[in-house]
Amino acid sequence: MKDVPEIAPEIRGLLEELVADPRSSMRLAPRRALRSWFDGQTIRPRDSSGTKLERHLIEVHREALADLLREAAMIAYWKAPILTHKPVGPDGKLYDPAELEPRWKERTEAHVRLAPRRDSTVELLEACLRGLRAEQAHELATASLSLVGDDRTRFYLGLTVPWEKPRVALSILGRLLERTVSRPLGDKTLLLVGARLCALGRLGDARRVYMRAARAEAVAVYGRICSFNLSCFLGDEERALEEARELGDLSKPDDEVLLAERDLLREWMSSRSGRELDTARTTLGRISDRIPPTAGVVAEAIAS
Amino acid sequence: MRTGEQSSGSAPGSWPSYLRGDDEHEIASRLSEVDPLRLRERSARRLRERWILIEPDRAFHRAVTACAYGARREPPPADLESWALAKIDLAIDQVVRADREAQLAHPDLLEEEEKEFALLTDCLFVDPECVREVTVEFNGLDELARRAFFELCIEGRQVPEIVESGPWDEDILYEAIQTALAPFGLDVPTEAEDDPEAGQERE
Repeated sequence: MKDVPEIAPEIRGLLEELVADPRSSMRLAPRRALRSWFDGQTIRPRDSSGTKLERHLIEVHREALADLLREAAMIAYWKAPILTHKPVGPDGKLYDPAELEPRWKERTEAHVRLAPRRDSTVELLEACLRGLRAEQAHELATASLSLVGDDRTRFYLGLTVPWEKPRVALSILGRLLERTVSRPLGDKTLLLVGARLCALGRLGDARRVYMRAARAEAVAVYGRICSFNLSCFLGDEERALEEARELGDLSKPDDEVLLAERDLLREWMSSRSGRELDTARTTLGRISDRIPPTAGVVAEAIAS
Repeated sequence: MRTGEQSSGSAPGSWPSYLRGDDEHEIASRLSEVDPLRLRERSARRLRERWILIEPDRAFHRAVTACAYGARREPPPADLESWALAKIDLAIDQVVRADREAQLAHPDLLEEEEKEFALLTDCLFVDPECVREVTVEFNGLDELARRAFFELCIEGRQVPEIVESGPWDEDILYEAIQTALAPFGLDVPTEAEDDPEAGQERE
């Protein structure tokens, strides 16, 4: 075993002072007994009072309804998504969240049937069981958030803001980026921010956000694809070449995600001006013989 | 109800008797009194495994109610033990998230349950009014810092053993425990301006 020093003297000294303090219960037990404090085996009488259980049951019920509403928002959104890439499932393949509706309905039926009282939330879920429409997505995310504060729901709230309100979406997503402690959620939020900045014509700002996303493992491929694409649109030949090379290290030409992103970009191209498309194609033309095949797949969207 | 009843004694595809009933309040009371799923012990252990600092009793009560609630609305699982563990994880996630939301929304308003945490209040002299603030900050730290705290302080393992079995050397472990102790105000300041004798000539 390698020779390692003890815990730093100042930390040990601090803990020893705590132990030496006559008021501290720590001095009555060896250091290992902190675990018994944590497990709650030593001190307070058990309080399994009905009041505590009642309170927790109410919270569990609220959480369950909030979860169902958030899932409903997701399913509704995916019935008519706008320029959003499909998520990757646990099996590593892209999937369509709208296909989760039948299982969602099964679970929701049980909750609605056994709801302790019929309130507006239960009525909303009942209406969704009769038919879940794409236009309801934002309303459902809002309803979920009104029950339980949850950054996952705030993500869907930002995602489902109507496409013609990019500033509202950016406001919601910006606040989420500031507050969330979930790195994966923050990374996915960057992609949404990039998309809305593009919708506002702020291509330079969008590229900066995508380049930030490109450094996050979970969404790096998307970030690189978009920053390569936008570098072409901004006429930034040097950056476009750099992003293309990075993309070449991240993905393969037959990657399902890459192909899906190419198709999304084709859809996005239809909203760009003739001048923008000319700039993008000219930039691409200058570097096309130097980009790896992976970037070449993305370039098909620009060239078409 | 036999207290020693095992889930394997139930008919396949059915809930054990202690999870059956028309009222989740009744199921929850039963679960909390007898605890055939060992939720109390497993909740505390799961918190230690995930390095999450919330009062284990809160995790236990939430897990009990999550199980009672789920038993009335879900089909019986093939593996009751895994199902119970999933409910424990759900309970922990919900309590951690709720605390964080509450701390952000109304930092000065605490429920009684949020002030109770003997490990913090009695061992580390954290003011009960600050328990939620401390745990929210701690639970928001990265895994390495939280793990260092649990292994050194909760589990009481020796430093060489921790270094040997972990993704760190002694320097990284030191930084990690410093980070972990910061929410408690127990970290050692490293800036000169924090040292009252800094800059003074020694006689």
